[in-house]
Amino acid sequence: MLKSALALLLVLLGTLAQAQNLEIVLLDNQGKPLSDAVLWIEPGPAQSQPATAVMDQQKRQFTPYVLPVQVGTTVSFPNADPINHHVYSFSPAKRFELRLHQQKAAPQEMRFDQPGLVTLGCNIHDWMLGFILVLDTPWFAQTDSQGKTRLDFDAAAGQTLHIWHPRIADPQEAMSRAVPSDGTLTWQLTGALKRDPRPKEPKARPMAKDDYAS
Amino acid sequence: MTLRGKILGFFLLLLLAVMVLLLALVYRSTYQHTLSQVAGQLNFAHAVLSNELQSRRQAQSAMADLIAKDFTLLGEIADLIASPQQEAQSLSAALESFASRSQASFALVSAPEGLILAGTSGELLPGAQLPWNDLLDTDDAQSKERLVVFGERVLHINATPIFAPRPNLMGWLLMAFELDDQATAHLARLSGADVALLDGRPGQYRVLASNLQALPRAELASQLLPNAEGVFRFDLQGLEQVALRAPLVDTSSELQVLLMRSLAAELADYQPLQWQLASIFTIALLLAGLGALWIANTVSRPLSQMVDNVRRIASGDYQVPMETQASGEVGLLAREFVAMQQGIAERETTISFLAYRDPLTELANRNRFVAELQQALTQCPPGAGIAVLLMDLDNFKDLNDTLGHDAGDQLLCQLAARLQVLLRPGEQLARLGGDEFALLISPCQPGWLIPAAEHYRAALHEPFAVRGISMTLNATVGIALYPDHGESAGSLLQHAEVAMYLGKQQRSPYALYRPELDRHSLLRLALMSELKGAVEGGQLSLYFQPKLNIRARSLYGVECLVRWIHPVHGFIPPDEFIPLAEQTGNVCALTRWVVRTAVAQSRAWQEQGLDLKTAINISALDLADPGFAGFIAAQLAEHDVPPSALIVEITESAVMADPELAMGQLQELCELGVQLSIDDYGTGYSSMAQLKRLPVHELKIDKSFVLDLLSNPDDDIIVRSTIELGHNMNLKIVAEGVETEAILDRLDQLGCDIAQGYLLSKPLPPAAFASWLENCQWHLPAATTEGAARQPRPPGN
Repeated sequence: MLKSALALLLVLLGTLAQAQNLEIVLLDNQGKPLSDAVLWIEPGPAQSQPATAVMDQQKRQFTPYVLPVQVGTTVSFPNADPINHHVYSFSPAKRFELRLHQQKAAPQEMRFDQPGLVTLGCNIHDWMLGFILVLDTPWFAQTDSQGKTRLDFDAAAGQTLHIWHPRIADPQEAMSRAVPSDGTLTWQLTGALKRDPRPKEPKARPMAKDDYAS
Repeated sequence: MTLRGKILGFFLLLLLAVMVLLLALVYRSTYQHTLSQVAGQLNFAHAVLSNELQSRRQAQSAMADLIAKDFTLLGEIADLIASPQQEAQSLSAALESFASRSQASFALVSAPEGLILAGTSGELLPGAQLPWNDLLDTDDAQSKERLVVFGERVLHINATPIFAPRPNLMGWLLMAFELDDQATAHLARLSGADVALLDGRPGQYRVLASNLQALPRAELASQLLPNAEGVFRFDLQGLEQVALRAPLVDTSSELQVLLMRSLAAELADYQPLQWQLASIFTIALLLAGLGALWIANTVSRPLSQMVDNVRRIASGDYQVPMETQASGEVGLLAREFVAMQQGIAERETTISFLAYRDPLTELANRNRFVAELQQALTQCPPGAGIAVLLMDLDNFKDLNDTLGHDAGDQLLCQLAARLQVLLRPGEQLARLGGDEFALLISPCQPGWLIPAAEHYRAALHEPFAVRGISMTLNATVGIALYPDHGESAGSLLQHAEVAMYLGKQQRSPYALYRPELDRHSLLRLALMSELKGAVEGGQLSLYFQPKLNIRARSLYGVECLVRWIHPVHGFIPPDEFIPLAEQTGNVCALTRWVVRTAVAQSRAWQEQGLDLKTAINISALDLADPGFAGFIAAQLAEHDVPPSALIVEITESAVMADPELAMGQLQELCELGVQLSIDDYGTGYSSMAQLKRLPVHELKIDKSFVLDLLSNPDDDIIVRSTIELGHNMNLKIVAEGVETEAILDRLDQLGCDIAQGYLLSKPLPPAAFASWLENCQWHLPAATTEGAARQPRPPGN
C-alpha cells in the first residue's frame, strides 16, 4: 500500500519536475544482498508534503524494523499484540513515550518534525528494537530481500545518495555518494557488517546476566 | 608394708596411672579432634563465605541491572544529556534514592566513556573520570562487577550499561556496595568463623574490615601468615587461632579473606567434659580405693585373723575356732592350720601327759604336783590349810646299789600302787623323783597331819617282795602346812623336805617342819645335792695329819682327813658335810673316794721309801655296805699296797649303833689284813665286852681326854687305865690332841704307843705335808722296816 502510494506520489512529482529513477542493488562486503537498508537522495525539495506512516507492534516486535519517513510525517503506533507496550524514544530527534494498550481502536500517532534517527524501544519488552529514520527528503527507498530497490527522484535537486542500516558500523564506510547518472547502481559495502543489534526475545525466563561461578 | 597396703597401693596407683593416661589421651584427642573439626569448619566457612559473597554480588548486580533499566532514570539521564548545562541535581537525587533502596554505598552515572555525570559519592564528583575504566567497554557494553579496595574500604562495584534501548548505550550506572564491618559480621554469623578482610603482604597487612570489634588490627597486620593454601595456626594476643586465608575472586588487588577460630574458645567447649571426666575419675578412684580396701581386707582379714589364731596357738590355746570358710589359697592355708592345730594339740596332750606323769609309776610328777599345789594355794579359802607330806624311803640308795636299779624300780612301783590304794578322795599323790613321794592334802587342819602321815605309812607295814626277796622298808615323812610353814608351793615343798631330813636325823617316822630348822637348811640342802658332784668334780681333797711312834720318836703314819673346798662356800668343815653325806647316803661314795685316794697316796709314799701307816675314817653306813671290804681289797691290790699299811678307823658310836652289822664287816676287813682302829674312844659308852669281840688292833683315845691330861687327874686316870686296858687286850693305843712336849712325855711315861696332834702338825694338804716331811725332826720309818706294827689279835681272843 505504501509502495503504491509512494509510486503514485513519485509519478505525480515526476510529472511536475524532472523525474528520474535509480535502480540500486545493495551488496554487503561479502557480495550478499542486504535488505532493510534505507537509501535516500538529498537534498530534497524545499516543500514537503504531509504524509503518514505506520509503526505496528506485532508479536512483540516493531514492524517494520526500520521505518524511513520524511520530516513532518505522522506515524501511527497501532498495537496488534494482545498485550500492552510502552514505546519510547530518548533519541534527540524525537523524545516520546507512548503507552500502547492492547488493540485500541484508534492507534496513537506521533508527528516527527526533526530529521534524525529515532531509536524505538519498549519499556516493557527490552528486546524490542525499532528505528524511525526521519529524513529531510521525500526520495528514499528500502532494499528488499534481493538487496534491490528503486529510487524516483528529481535529478535537478538531489545530488547525493545516502545509505543507513543498523548493521553498518565500519567508520571507514562511505555512507553517501554522488547520484549516478545512468540510473543504475550496484553498491557494495566495503566494511564488515556488525551483527544484528536486535536482542533475542527470551524464551521462558528472563535472561540471567551470568551463570553462577566463583 | 602390709599385704593390705600393697594391694591398696597397687590398685590405686594402677588406676591413677590409667586415669592420668586416659585424661591425657582425652585431652590430646579432643585437641586433635577440635583442631580437625575447626579446620573442617574453616573450610566449610570458606565455602559458605564464598557462596554468600557470590550471592550478594549477584543480587547486587541484578539490582544494578534493574536500576539501569529504570525508565525514570533513563529519562533523567536523557534530560541531562539533552541539556548538559542544567545541574545534575535531579539525577543525583534519583541516584540517591536508588542507592538508598538497594543499600549501596553510592551510585554514579557516567557517560559511555566514563565521565561522571552525576552521583552520590562524596569522592567521585561529576566531571571526574571513573577510576575503573577497564570495566567500561563501549563497543560491547555489558554489566561488569568487581571487588576493589577504594581508600580503606572494600567495595563491590557494578558497572551496568544504560541502554535506550539496547544497543543504544546512553551511559553507565555504577553502583558500589561496601563490605564493611557490618557486612563481615553478617558473613561471620553465616560461616561460623571470625572474618577479616586483608590486603597487603605478609608482615604488612592492612586490615580493611572484620566482624571482631576488638580485633588487634596492628598485631594482625604484622603477622607473617603462610602463603600456602590450607589451614594454619598462629597466635593472636597469646591465644591460639586456627585460620584459613584465601584470596577473593574477581578482585584486582591483593584482597584476601582471613577466617579464624580461637582454639581456646573451641577447647573451652570441652571443659565441662574434662570436669566431668575428672569428677568421674575421682569418684572411680574413690570407689576403686574402697573396692581395693575391701578386697585387701577380704584377703588380709583372714590372714590377720589367722595370725591372731596362730599366736593363740603359739601361746597354747588349741581351742581356737579357725575360720575355714575362706576360699582359695587362704582357705587352704586355714584348713592346713586347723590340721596343724589338731596335730599340735594331740602331740601336746602326749607331751603334757609325759610332762606331768612319772613314767615309772604313772603317778603325777613333780611338775604336776607343783602345779596342783599352786592351784590349791590360789583356791584355798582364808583360814583353811594345805598340807604337803613328803615321804622318802630310808636307805633306798643302798638297796638300789645292792639289788640293782630294776629291783629298786619294782619296789617303787609297788609302793606307788599301795599309796594309790591308800589315797583318800581330795588328796593328791605324786612321785617327785627317786624314792621321794609327795602327798597333797587340801584342805587340811593341823590336827589331821599326824594321822595322815600314819595313814600313808601304812603302805610300809607289809614287806615288799622283789625277786623273791621279802624286805621291809622304812620311810620318813616330812610335813609342812600352809599357811604356817610357807606361802608358796616351793617353800612348802622345801620345808617338807627339811622336815623329812630332820625326821631321818632323829630316826623318827615323821617330822613336822619347824621354822628354826630352816637356819642352815638351805645351805645344807644345797650341799647335799652338790656333794655327789663334789666327789666326782675334784672339790674334795685329802689332808694328812702325822702320827708319831712315841717310844721311838719316829713317824708312824698319817690319818687321812677329807676336806671339801667348795668353789663358792670355800672350806666346809667335815663335821658339817659328813653327817649330811651320811643322811643322803652319799657317804659311801665319799668313803670310796677316800679309800682310793689314800691307797694311791700310800703307794706313792712307798715308792719314796717311806713306810707310813695310812689311816682312813669310815662311817657306820660303810659297815652296812656289803661290797665295802671287797672294794678295799680291790684298791689295795690295784695299787700294790700291803693291807697292813692301811688302818681303817671307825667311831665307837658307829660300831655301837649296830654292833652285829659292824662285827661282820669288821671281820671281813680284818681277814683282809687291814688294821682296824676304834676312833674317839671313850665317848661312846661301849662296853668292854662288846669291844673285846671286835677284831680291832688299835684304840684312839679321844682328844678331850688328852688336852687336859696334865692338869686334870681324872683324864690322867682315864688315859692311863685305857692304855693299860688296851695293852692288856693287845691293842695299840693312839692319843689324839697331843699339843705339847709335856703331854707327849707324860704319854710316854704312861706307855702310850702313838701320838697325834698339833705338836706334830695340824692336818696338812698334800703339798704342805710333803714339805713338812722334808723338814721333819722325827725319824722317818724306812719302807723296808716293819716298824712297830704288831699282828692283830684274832677275833674272839
